[in-house]
Amino acid sequence: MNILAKHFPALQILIPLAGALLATLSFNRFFAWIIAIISMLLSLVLSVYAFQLTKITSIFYAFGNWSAPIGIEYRLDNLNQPIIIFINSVLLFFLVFGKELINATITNYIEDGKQHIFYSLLLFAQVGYLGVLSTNDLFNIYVFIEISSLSTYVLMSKGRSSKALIGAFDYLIMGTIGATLILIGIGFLFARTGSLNISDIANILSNSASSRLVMTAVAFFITGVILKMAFFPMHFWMVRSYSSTAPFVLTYLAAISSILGVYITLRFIHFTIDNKTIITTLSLILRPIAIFTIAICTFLALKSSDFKKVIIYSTASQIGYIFLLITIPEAKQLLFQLLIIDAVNKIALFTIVAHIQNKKEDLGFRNFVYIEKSTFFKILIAFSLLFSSGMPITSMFLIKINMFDLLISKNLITELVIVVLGSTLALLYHLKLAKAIFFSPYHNETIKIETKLYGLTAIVIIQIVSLIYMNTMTTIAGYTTSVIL
Amino acid sequence: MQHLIYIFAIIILNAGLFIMLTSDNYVRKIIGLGIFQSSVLIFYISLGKTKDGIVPIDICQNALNCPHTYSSPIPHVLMLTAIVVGFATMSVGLALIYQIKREYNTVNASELDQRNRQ
Repeated sequence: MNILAKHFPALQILIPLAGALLATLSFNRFFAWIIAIISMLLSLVLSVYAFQLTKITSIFYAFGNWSAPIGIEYRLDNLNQPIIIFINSVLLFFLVFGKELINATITNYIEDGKQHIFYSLLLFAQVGYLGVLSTNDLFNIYVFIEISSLSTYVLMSKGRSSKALIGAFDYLIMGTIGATLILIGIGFLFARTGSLNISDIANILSNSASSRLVMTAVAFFITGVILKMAFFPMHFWMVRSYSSTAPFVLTYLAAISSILGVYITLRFIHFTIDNKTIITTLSLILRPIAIFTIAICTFLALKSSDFKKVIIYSTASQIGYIFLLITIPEAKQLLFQLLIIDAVNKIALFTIVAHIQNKKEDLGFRNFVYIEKSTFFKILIAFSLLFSSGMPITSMFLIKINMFDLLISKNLITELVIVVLGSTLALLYHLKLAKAIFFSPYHNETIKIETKLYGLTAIVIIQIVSLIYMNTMTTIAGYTTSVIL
Repeated sequence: MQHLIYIFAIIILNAGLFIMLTSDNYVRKIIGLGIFQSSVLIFYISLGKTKDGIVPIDICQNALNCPHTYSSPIPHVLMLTAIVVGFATMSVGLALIYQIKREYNTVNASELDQRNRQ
């Protein structure tokens, strides 16, 4: 127990890493699945246990006893530990409830004898995400971003259609440009301060006047993050690669990637730079882009003629709302509520797509499939569409109301108009989705959903629970207090 | 004159970006990616170089009155990691290209677009 209490920051990452290596050596799809579940379960338990400790005070862990700023340091505090718990539970959920869909839509298209690699790639991606979250060292962030991206490229490349390969290649090119820009930004900060440790850099920068070098570093870093997150001008690759890949893997990737982008941005802006002028300038630049993202992606979602593309554009427009909230310092609690609720909604929608696309590849609205009999499936779809559209008395609705309130109190009228318009139009494209599912003509191709619906049921229950306990959850996570930022 | 190396790094960065974004052939895109990433190596390593700095190996008996200036070893170490990361990215990219070639029998972006539209 003593070892656990002392070394949990390292163990949190090493357990999935060990799991990934074991899964590679298992040479069996079922064993790899079991190993992945066991390691994620251990990791989740550990992160919940660690949460008790990080709630009291931030924990700094020096790797190999090389204390910072020379060695690599991990930092767990009440900003990242709740996110670690969340992404661990997302992967566990994905593995436990998704076995059938993973087999049907992903691993069946991988050659025999290589299918276990899928699980080890999932765990490698998880190691990368966990590393980005826990480290307090800028270069380490870059390395972990690359670890997670490399596995993500491969995860995205497998699916029913071989178009996924091209999408994954696009993603590789764009993702590497983004990561390299982040690396250049880190280099400029290193040139200014001679250190890579985030706390150390913050300390040095706070004692000196702001310089152009820091500005350049911020510009490169934020451009890199925007590219990686597929924020508005760069969203095209995301649409291309997401629309061709297997939808079920997106339940994992789409849910986590935006949270991670926000986390990196917050960690960089508020913990590393923390300069009033830079933050104000940055929010003046980011706000118009966020508005454009909301407007254009909502419009494209309305215009697109494919079930899956609507959801992908809606994911892209949510990134706009998220960035709009990043630029408002008072909105931290709201930001995290939006991130979690949006992630849960996206998981539900992509699971639905996975269920349908398992039967029929083409999801164009013109000849959308007629779903036979499956009443329970349709009820679940109705619930998840309701929750994700932000109809009254759903969590998304409450968040949007709070957002309007905040924008009015901050006197941001243009933003308010766009957000109201965007939310209203979001109702319209959800209506389009509902129309396709429920009122598809009989003479279209008929499918029957035979896959088990445990996952979807669980996610709808989570949605309902999250509606009731939304505020309690943020209080437990500690995001209501202003201590973190 | 001392900033010349940074201008060189910028030229390489832009050359790589240009090759990557304009070429039609996927293999050329990967080559552009390699050039793009190597500009970062030059940038970092030139950050560590000091005037009259020698290779960072401890050759002084007495550290207090050492006549030599050392270059900073940290950027070299960092770039060692970045080289490995770049190599891994390139391998994954080439593996994807190999799969694309097997599926479609071409690695040209425009041809692939055309075939997917059909």
